[in-house]
Amino acid sequence: MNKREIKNNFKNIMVVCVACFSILILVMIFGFIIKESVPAISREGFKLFSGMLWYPTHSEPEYGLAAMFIGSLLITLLTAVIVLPLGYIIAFFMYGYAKPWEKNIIKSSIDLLSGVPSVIIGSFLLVYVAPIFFKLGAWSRENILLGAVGLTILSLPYTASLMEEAMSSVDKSMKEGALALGATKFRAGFSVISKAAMPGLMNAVILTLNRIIGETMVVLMASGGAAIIPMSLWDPVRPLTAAIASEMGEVELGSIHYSALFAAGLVLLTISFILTLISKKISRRSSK
Amino acid sequence: MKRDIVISIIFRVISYAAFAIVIAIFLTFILEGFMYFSPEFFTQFPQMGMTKGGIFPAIIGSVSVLLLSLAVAIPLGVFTGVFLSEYAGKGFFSKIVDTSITALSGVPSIVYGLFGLSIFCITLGFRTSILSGSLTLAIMTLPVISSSVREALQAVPRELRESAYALGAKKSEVVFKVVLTAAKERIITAVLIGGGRVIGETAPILLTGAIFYSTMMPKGILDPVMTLPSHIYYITMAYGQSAQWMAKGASAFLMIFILIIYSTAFYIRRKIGNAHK
Repeated sequence: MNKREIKNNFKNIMVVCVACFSILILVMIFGFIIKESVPAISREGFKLFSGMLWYPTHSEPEYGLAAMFIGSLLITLLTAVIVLPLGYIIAFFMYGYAKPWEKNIIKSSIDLLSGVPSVIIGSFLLVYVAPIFFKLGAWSRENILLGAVGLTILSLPYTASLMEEAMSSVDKSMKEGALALGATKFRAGFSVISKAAMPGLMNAVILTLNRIIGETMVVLMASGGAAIIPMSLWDPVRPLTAAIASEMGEVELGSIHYSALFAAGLVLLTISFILTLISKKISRRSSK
Repeated sequence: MKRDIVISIIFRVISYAAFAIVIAIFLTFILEGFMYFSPEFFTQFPQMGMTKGGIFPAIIGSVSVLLLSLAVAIPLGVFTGVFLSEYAGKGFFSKIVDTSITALSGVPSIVYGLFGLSIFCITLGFRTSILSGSLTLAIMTLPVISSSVREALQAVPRELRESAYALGAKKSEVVFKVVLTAAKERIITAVLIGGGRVIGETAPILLTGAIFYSTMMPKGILDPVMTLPSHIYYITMAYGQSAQWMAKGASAFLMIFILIIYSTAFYIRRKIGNAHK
């Protein structure tokens, strides 16, 4: 072998090694999160996931993640109800009605908005929106509605651009065929294109849900600190992500509380893993 | 047809309203924060319980975390992207790498924070430090950079590869000398977007690298830092009205910084897009 071949082989092997590294990271993330949550799971058993009470710092501590899990689901659901239809309407507008320059403006602003850090959205909500909500009847500065508004601002650009991509990837002849048969633009977009783009749209829905449920800073700052199940839109809620971020700073390393927070992380990790795999499956099937 | 016009008007109004509101929000924030900009604001430590002084340590912290995490994430991300685009076939191994990257891209940032806390701060003994925070963020950016690099390389025309092979180049020479060079601009875009994400990320850095307040500069990469996002978070949550100006100023500065990074990225991308038409 000459020097050139050695160099070639070396580089090829390097690339494969680095590629292995990404598998290793995924395995290690699962490994470390599971390892750290084992003490809490083995001590509390199934009660850790089904228990409604979360009083980790009481003299008789209770470690139940269920209320916070439900909190996560509720705020995700509330946001989804706002952001999915809104995202679809904007995507539909960009696809069906917008003139090229309008589409250009909306697309550029989507690009720029996708980089806004969530901590800024959280800060904005507390400074400007919370006082307005207070006047409208909120009894707590931080509440589930405020959190949902923040999550909507955060995920709207993402959802709209994913949905628009899904609709644009449908073959143009479909739209033209529908229009030639006398369908209105709305009918063509709604009954023909949306149906053909269904896998892509579903994919957008799943990725949006995944993004909302894993978002930390907005819910940490805007949705409050009570680990209870909210009964009204003005009630505070504490989703899993917020609990981890706010309590990890004060917890004693290696304690059951510490371990229970990792168990909360394990729940989030599992949810996101399943959602991403479903999304991958959908997009792979539709690309065939 | 009449109904179609009505719907088109409704949709247009909703779209415009949604974006006008979101953009108005950020403009307000930037403009209001802009009022607090002064030379002292960028060069001094916070003083008197965050009511005076500036955000100098947070800027230094953010920049050092950004540079260190990109130094780790760029080589890893580019190599993984090269693998996904040029080396991956239909085999089992390629499929697993592909799935891992996709799975990593969906993991919530707070879970990366937990992972970083467990592996870097505790197991490897780096404690709460610039190093732990940067490594955590580097791992978090890996899927972002590698999938964009993969897309960038796949956009390179086939003829280029084939001509290089025809000239007798070996696989790695084709990939590193021809394909990577041809996709240079797109890769810069990918890195800029990754960097924009690193600098705005808060949750993982809260767990692994940030402290509430420091009176000294970090001496090395094993010291904890203040970063802009963590500083904004702490001020908003834990300080009274008299300190909020600093959160607004810091937010405005962070937004402007990220807007510049992103505009550069998208400007480059658009320029290549037009050149190919």
